[in-house]
Amino acid sequence: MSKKLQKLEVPEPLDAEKISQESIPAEMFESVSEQTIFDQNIEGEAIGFFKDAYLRFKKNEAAICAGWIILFVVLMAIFAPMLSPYHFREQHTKFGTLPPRIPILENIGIADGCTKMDLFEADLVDFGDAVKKIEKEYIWNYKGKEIKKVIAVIDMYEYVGAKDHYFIFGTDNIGRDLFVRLWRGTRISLLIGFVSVLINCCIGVTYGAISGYYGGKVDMIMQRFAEILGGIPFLVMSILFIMVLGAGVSSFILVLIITGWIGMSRMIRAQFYRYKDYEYVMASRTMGAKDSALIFRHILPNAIGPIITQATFAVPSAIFSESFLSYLGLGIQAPEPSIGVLLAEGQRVLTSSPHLTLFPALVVSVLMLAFNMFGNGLRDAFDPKMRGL
Amino acid sequence: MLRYIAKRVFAMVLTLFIIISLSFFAIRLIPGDVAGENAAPEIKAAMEARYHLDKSLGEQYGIFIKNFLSFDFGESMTLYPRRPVFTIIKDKIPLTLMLNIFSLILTVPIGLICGVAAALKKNTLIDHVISAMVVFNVSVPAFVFASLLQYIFSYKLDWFPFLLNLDPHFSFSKFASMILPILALSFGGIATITRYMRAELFEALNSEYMLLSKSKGLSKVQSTVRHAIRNSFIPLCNVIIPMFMSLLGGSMVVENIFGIPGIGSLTAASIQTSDYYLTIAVLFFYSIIGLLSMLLVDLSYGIVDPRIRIGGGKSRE
Amino acid sequence: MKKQKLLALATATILLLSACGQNNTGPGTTSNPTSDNSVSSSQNEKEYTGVKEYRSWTTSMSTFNPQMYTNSKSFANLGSFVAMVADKDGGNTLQFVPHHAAELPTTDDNGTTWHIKLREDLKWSDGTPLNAKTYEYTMKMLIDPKLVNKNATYMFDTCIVKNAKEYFSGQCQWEDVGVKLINDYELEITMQYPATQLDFYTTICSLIWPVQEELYEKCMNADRTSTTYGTSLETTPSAGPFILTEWITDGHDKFVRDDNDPLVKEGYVKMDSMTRRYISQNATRAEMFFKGELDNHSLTGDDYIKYKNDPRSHNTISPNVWGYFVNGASKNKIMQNKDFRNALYFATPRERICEDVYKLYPAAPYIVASGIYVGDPISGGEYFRDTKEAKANTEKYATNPEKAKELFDKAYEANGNTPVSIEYIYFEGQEDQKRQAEILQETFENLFGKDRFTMKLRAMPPSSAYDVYRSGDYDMGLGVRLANVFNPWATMNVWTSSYADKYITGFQSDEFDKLQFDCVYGDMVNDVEAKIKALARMEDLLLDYGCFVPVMQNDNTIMYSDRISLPTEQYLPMIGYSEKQYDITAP
Repeated sequence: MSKKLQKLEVPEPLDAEKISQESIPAEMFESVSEQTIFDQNIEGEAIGFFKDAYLRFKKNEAAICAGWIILFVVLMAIFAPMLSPYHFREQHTKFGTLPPRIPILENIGIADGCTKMDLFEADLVDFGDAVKKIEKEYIWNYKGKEIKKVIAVIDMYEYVGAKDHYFIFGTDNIGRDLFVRLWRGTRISLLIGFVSVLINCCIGVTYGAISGYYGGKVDMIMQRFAEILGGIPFLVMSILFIMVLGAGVSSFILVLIITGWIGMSRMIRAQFYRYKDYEYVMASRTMGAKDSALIFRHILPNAIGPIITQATFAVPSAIFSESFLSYLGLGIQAPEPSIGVLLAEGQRVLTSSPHLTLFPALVVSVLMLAFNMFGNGLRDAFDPKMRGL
Repeated sequence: MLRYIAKRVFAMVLTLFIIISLSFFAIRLIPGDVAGENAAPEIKAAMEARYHLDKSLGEQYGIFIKNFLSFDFGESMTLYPRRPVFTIIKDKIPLTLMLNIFSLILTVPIGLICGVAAALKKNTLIDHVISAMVVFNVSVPAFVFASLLQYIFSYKLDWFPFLLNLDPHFSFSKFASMILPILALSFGGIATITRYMRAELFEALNSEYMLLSKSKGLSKVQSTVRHAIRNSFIPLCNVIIPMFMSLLGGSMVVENIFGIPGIGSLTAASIQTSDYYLTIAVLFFYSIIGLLSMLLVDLSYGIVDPRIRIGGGKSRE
Repeated sequence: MKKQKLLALATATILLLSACGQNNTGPGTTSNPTSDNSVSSSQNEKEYTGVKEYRSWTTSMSTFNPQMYTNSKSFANLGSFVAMVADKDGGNTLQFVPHHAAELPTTDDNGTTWHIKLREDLKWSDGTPLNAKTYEYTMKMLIDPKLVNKNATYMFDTCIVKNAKEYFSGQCQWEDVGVKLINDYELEITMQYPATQLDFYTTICSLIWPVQEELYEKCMNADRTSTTYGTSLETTPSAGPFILTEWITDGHDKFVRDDNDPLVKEGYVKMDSMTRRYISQNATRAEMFFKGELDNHSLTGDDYIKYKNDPRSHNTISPNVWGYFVNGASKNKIMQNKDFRNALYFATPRERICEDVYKLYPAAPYIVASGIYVGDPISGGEYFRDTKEAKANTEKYATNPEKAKELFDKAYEANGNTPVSIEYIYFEGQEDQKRQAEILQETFENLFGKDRFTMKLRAMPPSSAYDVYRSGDYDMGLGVRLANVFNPWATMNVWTSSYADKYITGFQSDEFDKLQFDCVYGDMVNDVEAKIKALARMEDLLLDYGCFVPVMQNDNTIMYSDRISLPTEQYLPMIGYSEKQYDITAP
């Protein structure tokens, strides 16, 4: 990705020329041609870099939509746990693994809290009124004995006596509301994603800027260091660290940072290599600009587009790494959920309680998709040449 | 070129050294007990002597590095008591490699075809279908996908066996049992390659040299095949070789689900049973594969892209 | 380590189901169809003549080295002096039969010296002879001080072979150990304390499996500290009813019946072969079982509601009680308060945890499990929890939140009315135990008041957790102390003050120590009545101090496919349904 992003357009360094032109007195000019030039006047205002990007971004409906989705997920992650009638730790152990039940939808037979069960006819008594429908009756042959079995639709909410509850995403096996846990988990996952990406950006930008700007020996040493560190596979690094530190939000963030900044620093360094020899930089340098001014005011802004884009793509991949580690049993400590922990828990009972996997997977999918589309939109906006890639 | 390779190899060695040192400190820092649960004190003391825990930290470090470099990773403690770690890994590598290579064979062509198709037919139905597939692939974790595959195709439809057939001889049923794990393994890779290929090819199609090739009279097919696709292949080795690494990571999930006695399930099991010596040895193995694939990328760049060979560094464009 | 074997051979009988909590309702309905089935299955038996292959599963295939294994799901290929089988003639009872021994071992001085005579025609699967020398070598290697085998304790745990412990820790010569070769077919074992016949048969005679000397030596490393014996097919010879013929680690293993084995010759074994597939995912096992690709399946709590009355379901009863250790010697001051520890005991919602999370495991308001059998299982004895002494304890220590609240208030006051915070350790990667931790946390905090009491949870791999318990640097932590089905007094040694590998809990009682010694090695050994009283008293002492809060007993329910016919309809102590003796009655 970084390779492509380096080909970013430079905003024209107009200022210097304008000033020098203006300082020459008008009478010193001599007309080259007697003819009047009929060029059209440029209409409209000059548009700044960000405004230009914004205008382009606005036209990308998919990206706008993705932006709203991300905003929605973030807001849900922040507020849903607060507004829900249940707390993410609140247990109703009697109401374990209930399927989803949603107020209006239940009337049309979707998410009505019922499950189909293959039962012995003799056991139907246990379920009492909870048996909503007998779909099929059949005879099962066991060692020459015929035993009656039924496939029945059971209203689980009635069976456990939870008729006055609506768990819209269902419950886990100690009766905690999945809806709240999912948003709480999303909060943790997003937190891990955002914080790690933010820190990676800071480290990566500083490191890359210094390395790219100064070049020479400094660059070589810094690059060797990054190369050596970057050679450690992420998997190896993360497992080692979590084994030692124990799983937790901070150790996840740490793991994502240790090698995560290298990609960013490479990209920034390449940007600096490209722009530091541009005429406008040289001009500024000759006019006595300090290194810091050159780095932060003149060169770095060129890289803002790629930085934002790359950061956007990094958030979902951080969430994904977290869920992979959770699957390996290195997830964060109970009772705190995260999307990864929920998915890993759900996968074990995927076939018997699919809702425990379905909803976390949906949220991850939506997040991944939205972040990718949003990132694409940003990239197109910051760098029109890359549009549609 | 030679100097370039030497430089790369030197960096690799340093990385490896860091990994070994990290492993050593990980092993020492993890709370835990070499003797295992419920061990009698007599056993404990003897075990500590076995694992040199009675020596000074410096000495331990020396022994550790020496052993690692001679591929002597010690013995497994909890998972396979008394079995040398190296033989465990050695026995398990072939199966994992085989499945991963099969999956790579499946992944690369499918990914390329999808990517090319999507780029050429941009914004048509084909493109949208392929993009949707890519989105699905990148947004569902592999472990969910793998267990879904098993549930649908083995349990509900009864098309394929649940687990990998472990017969030593190749048979049709063995082949059938390999399909699901290979599919599950390939699924992330196909998406990656498709995405990459689509982007690269699209960029190539819009570049100046395509204009040139058209203006010199090449047909659309000629210019696309000879120039655009060919050029977009160059950065692909950047993706394919490290993809092998992520395939190995995916093996941890897939092998567990399809009952494959390979390196991946070994890693997962060693982490879960806290068999630390085994875990770090497996991680070391992963590191070596990772570093080798990086070296391959670098070399292949040198071969494919002459600018690098001459310039002596790829990071400087 | 023997104790871990017992874990796998968890025991149960249908008789006891009624005592196991409300979840196991309906044993009456299951027992009727199953007893009918045994009749119909015996008819099928004659009809089925195909290959009888038993297809099982496992989650651990670590090693076949009998001196190192920690998980013993059907090490059916390994021999022993005495085999325990379900008695077919007597119907649903346990029986000892000589296996490698020519006759059941005898003692002529009340249990101190034992004579074991071996059969004369025994051979390993590779053709080398197996005789008394093999067993002598086996015992020598088992307690070899340099090899440090995990199962070395077989020689000095319940039944202590003379000087075995000393030899293991390098304090004496092999000649001093109480194992003497009389001739090629006879061994004399001398014990440190007189051993009962039951103890001797179930430990020394059943747990020590022979190793093939030549191969064992060949697999040994240069400094004789390790051997790769039993780590691959080539290094695993068999000398039992089954021969190991295929082994792919974490793949599968396959056993084929050995027609030269004495047990096989006597007709105890009916299956032709056994295959164990390594399957880590429970969902996969369930799917394969219901597709007919596996012959057994261990039910999970979620399935339990659907299959508890299935005629294929068979209950088991475990001799072990799971709970959490409570450290009365913790640096955390509140932990030192007895009222507080007792409050934890009475507040633990074990009934709710079992009914709602585990579903198939009964709650255990006791330390000695209902699988523990006192008295002689052959001539007649009873389950400890059926005795009136045990029942008195159960009543005294019933879960009681009000009492817990009261006790907590008292402890809180004694602690100077300052908020209390404790930490609970649970095992990483184990879903149900994580749930249990979460329920405990929620219940305690709600009962005692969130402003006064907080509980932190901390996940750890089991081995690290146990290490922390040994160091004493913890408040509370999940765990189990495994028990001997027939000799619970012996395994109570983990709570004695002289026990070398103690988990630190601060519990110490001279009365307890004396009772434990007298029941296992002292003058109470043969007095069952007194031993029952003593066991109840020991349990009382532990619960009163509050060093271990029991939660549940892991009684699994196992489903057997309809093609399997079991040798016994009752789950027998120690051997369960006697896996070796299953029969296949349908294709």
